[in-house]
Amino acid sequence: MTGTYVFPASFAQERLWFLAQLDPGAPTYHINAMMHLPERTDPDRYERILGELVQRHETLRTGLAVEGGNLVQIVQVELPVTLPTTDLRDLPPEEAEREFGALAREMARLPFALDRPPLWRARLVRMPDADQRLIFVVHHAVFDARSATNLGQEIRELDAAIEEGRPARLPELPVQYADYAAWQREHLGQGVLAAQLAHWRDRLAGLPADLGLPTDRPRPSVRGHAGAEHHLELPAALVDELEALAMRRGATLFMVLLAALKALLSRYAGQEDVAVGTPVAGRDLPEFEPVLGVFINTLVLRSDLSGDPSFGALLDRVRETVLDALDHAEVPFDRLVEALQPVRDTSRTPLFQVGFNLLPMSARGQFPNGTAQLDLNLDVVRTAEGAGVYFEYSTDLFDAGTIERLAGAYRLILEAVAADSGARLSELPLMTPAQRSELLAGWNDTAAPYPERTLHELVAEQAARTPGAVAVRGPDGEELTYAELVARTEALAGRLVAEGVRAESRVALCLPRGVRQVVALLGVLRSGACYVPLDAAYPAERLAYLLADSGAALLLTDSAHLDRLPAERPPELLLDQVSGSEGGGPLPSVGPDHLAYTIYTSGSTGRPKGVQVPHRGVVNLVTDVIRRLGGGSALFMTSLSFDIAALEIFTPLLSGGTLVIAPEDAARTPKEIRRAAEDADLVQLTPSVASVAVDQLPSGLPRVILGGEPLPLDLAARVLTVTDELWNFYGPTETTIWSTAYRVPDSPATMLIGGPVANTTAYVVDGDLRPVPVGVPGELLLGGAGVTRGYHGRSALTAERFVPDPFGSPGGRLYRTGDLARWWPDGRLECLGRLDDQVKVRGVRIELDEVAAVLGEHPSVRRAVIAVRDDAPGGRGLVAYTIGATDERELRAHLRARLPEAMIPTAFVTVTDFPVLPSGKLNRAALPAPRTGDTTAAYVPPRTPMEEGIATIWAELLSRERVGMTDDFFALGGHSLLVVRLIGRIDEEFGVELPLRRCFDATTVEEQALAVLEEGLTDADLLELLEGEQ
Amino acid sequence: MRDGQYKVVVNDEEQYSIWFAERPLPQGWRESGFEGAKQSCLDHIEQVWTDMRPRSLREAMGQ
Repeated sequence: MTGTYVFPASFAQERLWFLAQLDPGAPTYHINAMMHLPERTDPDRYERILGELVQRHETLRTGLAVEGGNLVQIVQVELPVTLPTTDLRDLPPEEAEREFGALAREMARLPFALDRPPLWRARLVRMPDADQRLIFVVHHAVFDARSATNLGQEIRELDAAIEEGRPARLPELPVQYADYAAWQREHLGQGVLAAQLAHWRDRLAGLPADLGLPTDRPRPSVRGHAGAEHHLELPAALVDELEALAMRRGATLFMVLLAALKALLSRYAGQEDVAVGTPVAGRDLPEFEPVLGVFINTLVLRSDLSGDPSFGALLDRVRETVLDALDHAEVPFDRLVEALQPVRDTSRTPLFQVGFNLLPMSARGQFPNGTAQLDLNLDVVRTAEGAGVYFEYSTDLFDAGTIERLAGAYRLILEAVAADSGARLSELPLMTPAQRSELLAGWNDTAAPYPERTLHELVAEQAARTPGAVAVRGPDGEELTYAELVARTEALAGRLVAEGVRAESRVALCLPRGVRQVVALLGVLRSGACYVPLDAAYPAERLAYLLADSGAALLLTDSAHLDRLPAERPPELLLDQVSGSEGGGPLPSVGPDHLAYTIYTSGSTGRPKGVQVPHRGVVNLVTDVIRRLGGGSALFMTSLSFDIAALEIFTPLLSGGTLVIAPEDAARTPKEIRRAAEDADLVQLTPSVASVAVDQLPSGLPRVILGGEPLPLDLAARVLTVTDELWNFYGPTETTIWSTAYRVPDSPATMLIGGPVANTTAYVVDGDLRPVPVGVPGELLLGGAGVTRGYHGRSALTAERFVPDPFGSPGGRLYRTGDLARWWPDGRLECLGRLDDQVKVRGVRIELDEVAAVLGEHPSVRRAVIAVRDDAPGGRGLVAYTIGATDERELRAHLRARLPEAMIPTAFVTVTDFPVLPSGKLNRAALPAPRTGDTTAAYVPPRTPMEEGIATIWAELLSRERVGMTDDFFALGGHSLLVVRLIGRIDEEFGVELPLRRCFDATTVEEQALAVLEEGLTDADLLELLEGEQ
Repeated sequence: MRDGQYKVVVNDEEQYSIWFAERPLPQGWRESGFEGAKQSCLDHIEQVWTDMRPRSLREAMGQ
């Protein structure tokens, strides 16, 4: 190449060059513009004009290349210019427009090779009706928004000058871009950089790595660049009011729009520490004004939104943030990243994920090219009609509907603060009245009839209809007809009343699963009392607590169990020693609001508490299950101490089917399940039990209900091989067995919990109990017929968990589930785990089930559980438990290839089995502690010559005495350009050119050695290796 | 629900709960007269709400 000059690159160019290497060929950093130009008689006029501009501006003749480990600008002295033309004048206007759009998009997406100038391309398109358009696409490394304005003005001036036959009046160019790059290096070298960096280090200390904006899909482990755009128009009247508000508070429109955006992000993300990125022009000297090139720099605007400020107060804070940032605007963004966040996270952009810009022009030339530089970016353009807001978003993360709702919420906030800047952050509206009403009323329109009766009354009514049908079949084959069942129930009830049992008495039940247990349960209900199930498998201490706390009047058990029960206990009735028909006095009459059972649940803290469940909720739910899924026979396999057992018992008994009782230990001996399940129309299991039992289940099961725990997708798929009708149910004991129902489709992408069951309402709210929009996580509150009375003897706890219902029927209560959930746009719910279990690692919200699911995909892992533990290495963190012995490093590598760094567990534990509670749920508390001993901090010497070689290169580049096998390149101070030198040194040493991308995935000596080996292998080597194996 | 000022509230069934002091009461609830920090409201409820049966049930049971 003849006639080139070489100059140092600017900092911004280094950054853009680097981003281009990371994502080669992606059009993410292309700037594109479209200009309407008048038709002229001289056919090559615009080509000549372009030629003149190329001569005038070095930037339009510049490329970028690495020389001696440094990035340089290579400027060609001369560059021939041709302007190709496309003629669409003969096409019908609509078709021409379509053709133009396709052409522009294609031009906008075609990659640039940064080392081959020019880094722009242009085309003239002649449209019907004398409309002539110039498409100009240029790489951001030589251009920015101000450059576009300059270029447009110069084209028009040159055109006008030719038209008027006069010399063009273009601004003088005292300097070129290369001069700016040199000036910048010198200027920043004089202590400015160090001083400003110190300021930012302070300002951005402890900044969360992620804003926490809820996404529609999990974040890919490597950020993609696919994007789309949504447009929002703000009317002039609104923008005028916002400007007036800005004036009143000594702020600018930019600050008002930014403060509103921060309010929006804070409410959506549930985070009070909100950082947004914004570009600044960076043309600090007047002589830079007319130059084309990338001067732009990026600032991080971080604000504290805590304390529920009024919007006015928030605006004051944002004003301070902006002014403070502008005072320290010269630190090149990449330097800031290197100083503050040295360890790269390939899944998200560093320091901020949402950008905001108020463009200094009235029209936005940029047209969408299918990319997004950030998760979300707002460009605002002030127009005669008001303002246009362009939401550019990552389509890997967001659906169009989500951004449309977000944009709608932005407008609602702007309207609200224009009307009243005193409104508090928590009060700002995020939904239109219609959206709100759909969420609160539309999706909760669940009214359906159910009988105003008690459970035992309904069983008696069923017996009157089908007295001879088999009601119960025991594990030993013993059967009772409905008539026999009711007769035995009445007899026992009479005996209980004779023993002093009354309406609302508690009667403890400690019996093995069987016909006798079912009779006892119904007898308790018939006597007007409620049952308190005791599982004999529980420790004696817990049984003693349950008996004492419930104040049980009587204990129903048998001789075999007596010695397992605590000495301190209420009077017992041994059912194996009670004869059949011992009548008593008249039986009391109770109603649907009397209690059916009191079941003890363990919270994460405190002692177990007894949930008092009236008949009404059970009758409502069973009626709904029979209506939706159908009645018939059901398998009774769940421990009675888990409330869902009541559904297994009453679904057949209220629909004339047979209650098929599984043997006591069926949950642990899967073969027994098969025999029992063959007779059942309905089988209900917890996912924990289902995962071991699914292979034993007979195929062709009419209906299966899974619930009580998160349902993994792969388990759902396996269960769907034995049944065509699988339901995922969700609900706490406090709102009676199940509150939402989801019919699992064939291959769901995400497991949902569906919508509320009959006569049930569901609300997703923030910490102030205000409903949050679709897609935003919040606490799930449940109301309706299933809401129970509360916790036995714990009025304060009841008052705290059961709160006034501000949305539904007057005087109603809502149970706060403590579960995090969100609405999907179709009115179904997704459960995101426990609110208390919310794990944030470096500000990133972690979904435990997601990590477990990915780990479970590894071929040698049979099942995986992820727990948050305080005793994880290095403090509170994730611990992975797997069945199936596997090398920890292999599992780590498996996860790293698929998940963001923050989601990688700090410890891996292999277990032979997962501990299960008597209820069949996973017993998290019984998971073993991970081995202690922090391995990451210690120096581990390299093991192989390859590792030694790489460690030596690192030590040299990073100026370190020694480097260990497990050290991280970026944690030791490695940065962008050092990676380039690293690649060069590895090439010299080993003759292997590592792709840049790999250096970001393989960041330790060990991983890099492996990468070099892999990259260096040729097909011939591979063949040789394979032959060697044989 | 965050910490802050709350009111002790009660509905027609004489079930107790708490509500944000500065916000309007949901329909069907009335103030009991006690107001304070969340925990003191809950402590107060522990004292006064001794029979958790709903009022209509209590009356039906003839007490």
